[in-house]
Amino acid sequence: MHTAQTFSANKRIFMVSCLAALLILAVGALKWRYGVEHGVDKNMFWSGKIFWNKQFDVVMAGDSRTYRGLSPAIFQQILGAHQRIGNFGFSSCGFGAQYLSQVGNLFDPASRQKKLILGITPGALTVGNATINNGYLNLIRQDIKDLVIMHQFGPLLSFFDPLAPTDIVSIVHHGKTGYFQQYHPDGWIASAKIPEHPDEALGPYIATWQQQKVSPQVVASLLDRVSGWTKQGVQVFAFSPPTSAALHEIERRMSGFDPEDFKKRFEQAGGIWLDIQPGKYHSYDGSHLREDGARRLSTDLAQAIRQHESLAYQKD
Amino acid sequence: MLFNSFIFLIFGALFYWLWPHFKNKEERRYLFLIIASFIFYGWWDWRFIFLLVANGLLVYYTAIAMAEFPRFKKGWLSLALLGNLGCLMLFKYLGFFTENINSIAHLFGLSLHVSHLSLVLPLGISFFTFECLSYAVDVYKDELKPTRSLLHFFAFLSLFPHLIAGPIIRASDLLPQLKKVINPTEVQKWEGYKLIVFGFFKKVVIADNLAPAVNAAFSTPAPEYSMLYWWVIMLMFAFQIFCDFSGYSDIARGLTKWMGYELPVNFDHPYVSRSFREFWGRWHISLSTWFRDYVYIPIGGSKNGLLMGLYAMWVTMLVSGFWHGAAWTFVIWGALHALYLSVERLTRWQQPLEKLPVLRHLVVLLILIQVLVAWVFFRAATFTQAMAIVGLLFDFSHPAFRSLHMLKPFPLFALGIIFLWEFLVYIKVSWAAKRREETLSIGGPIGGRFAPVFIEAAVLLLMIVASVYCRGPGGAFIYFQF
Repeated sequence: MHTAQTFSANKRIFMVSCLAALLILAVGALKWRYGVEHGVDKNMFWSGKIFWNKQFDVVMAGDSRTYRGLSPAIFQQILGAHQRIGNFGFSSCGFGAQYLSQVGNLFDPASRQKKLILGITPGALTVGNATINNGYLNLIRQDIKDLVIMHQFGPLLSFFDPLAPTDIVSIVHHGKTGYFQQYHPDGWIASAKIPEHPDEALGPYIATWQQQKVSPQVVASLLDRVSGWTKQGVQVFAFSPPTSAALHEIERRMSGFDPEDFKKRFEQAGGIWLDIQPGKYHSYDGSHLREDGARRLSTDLAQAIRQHESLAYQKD
Repeated sequence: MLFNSFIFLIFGALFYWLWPHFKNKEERRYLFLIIASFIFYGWWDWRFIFLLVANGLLVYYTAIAMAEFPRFKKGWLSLALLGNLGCLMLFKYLGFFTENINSIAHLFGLSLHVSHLSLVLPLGISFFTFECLSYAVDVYKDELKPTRSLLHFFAFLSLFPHLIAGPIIRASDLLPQLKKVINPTEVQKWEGYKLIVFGFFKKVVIADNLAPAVNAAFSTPAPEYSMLYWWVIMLMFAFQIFCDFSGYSDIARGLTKWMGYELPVNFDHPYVSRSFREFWGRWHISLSTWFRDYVYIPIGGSKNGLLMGLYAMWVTMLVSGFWHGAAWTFVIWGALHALYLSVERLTRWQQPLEKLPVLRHLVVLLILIQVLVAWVFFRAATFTQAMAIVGLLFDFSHPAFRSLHMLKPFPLFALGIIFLWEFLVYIKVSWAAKRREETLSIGGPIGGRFAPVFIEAAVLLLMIVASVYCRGPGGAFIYFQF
């Protein structure tokens, strides 16, 4: 590159750096102004979950259909404001041993009414998601120093996050389109996509199910845990997060998951299965619920749990 | 810590803020460099520091012993080599050896089974081991007087910009520089800044955006995609590894320029080479010159005739392949390059083509194609996967455009940028060669008389912004695994 004979490098470096800093701040400001992510900073959201410990009465566990589908705040309104509820879902999170151990650690030992709500998806019952492609494991495998930095400097890191193509589209459309996500400190991400793509998830899931199937070992290991939790006095609930009819059909055909058999074995292990009406909740991509759908699902599930508790109380 | 990390930003800012206060007194300067470098290195894992110190102490004292007790020079050298190479073998190749012993035993129907052992690979072990070895050998050959200051030695060995992934520095280059109080010149400061910016751009924008596409392609043990798809993927990998590694070297050179020191150029646009000899003069220059000086020439080099020359070259390339990784695929990669060099040396096939105006450019393309084929073995997880991919690269029976839809736009865009950049370099090289100008160091396509300062500044500005907002999924530098 060109090198001049006499010049002030410090001045030149300073000017280029200042202009770059201004441009970076300008782009960052545009991202913030027309950004589609709101609420708690996402770095703090995810790293915060890792630091949860022994603090809940009710815990939700599962993959992205769980952390996008269940609102702890709505459960709290129905089950009681004194209930401490956390959504411990992670991306592609399978029910592997390490994850389930941490789920167990989230309950306050002094809590008298421990409840666990499991979002049972075929994906969460694969070896891949239980051990490798697991959002929880990927986070805890990071250096603790990096996690602390994520937690302490989350908003700063987010400001400098790379521009995704969707960010650019969102900026161009003044924030009216994009993947909207509201991060709640209780672990729920309220989501929506504009424009919606109801079949967006189908292709990736077809590819996934061509490569792997539901693992009997992962299922057996999970049911073992359920049995153990039940004996410890934890009420373990489970449900099948609703998806689009097309995705439901793909998973029924290709995943190797037998929902009826699982439900039977789950109940034998002491769990309480919650049935839901699948067509009632709106998905923006075939796999994940839009915010209104998630709120409706949370309401329905919370009411079902409360009803179950009333019935149990009457029996007693 | 990674150069492309938030914590390095803080570290770097602190280092350069404090540097002027520590650089003027010799011992204080060395101590400051050592402490900073140990913090940098130990940030990954503090245990690695012990290995660096142990290797360094061994070489430092054996070098002094060679000077003090020259009668036993060979013994001292052997001790230094044994210690350093022994550590390298233990940490890097133990798993490879146990695996192969078991395979051979199984092949012969023996009931022998060695437990598969492998240790955590300390970062940069291959690089600082080679620096230790070259220090010991240079002292042995009386080409270097050993330093009598432990701090001076460790300041050279551990200097943080080059510690993890090179360039591999000769003590004779760096020790004298470290002794002096040097204020970086205006040119050094500006050149250093450009190198740092360009290095980050190559790493985080180009290499890190190419990586996901390459990783996805190689994640299948039995790949199926089309011929054209694989040529695009191999081009992506070629530029991924080039940008990743040369980016690191550029950042390392830039950081040391800001201290007033000079590290050698490590990559000089290798993909514009017109021969494999030229390629190895442009790719990982510090490593290839190390192998030339400490393996090729001691074996005999080309002094003892063609056959001995070929023998020395094959040994060097096979060892070089093995240095890159504890797997037979790396050895095959080295062997392929040895084959290319042998054919070139024996046939000089480029010469007739060089004479014709259009075919002259074909030579560069043919070299690149052969390099891409060799890269398959470098990147593949297994020999079987590599052969499958090579088969697909030359499989004309399947529709060439099948599977291209699997390639996402952004990696293609990143490939386009770097390909265009290197293509402009090639045009500049060809133009300069035509005008018989000296092109020992090409610089970039906008170097020299082509770039008014404001264009240079504008390009740097865009690179900085792109490095923030167009960076790919973060990852360690590829050569950290070596």
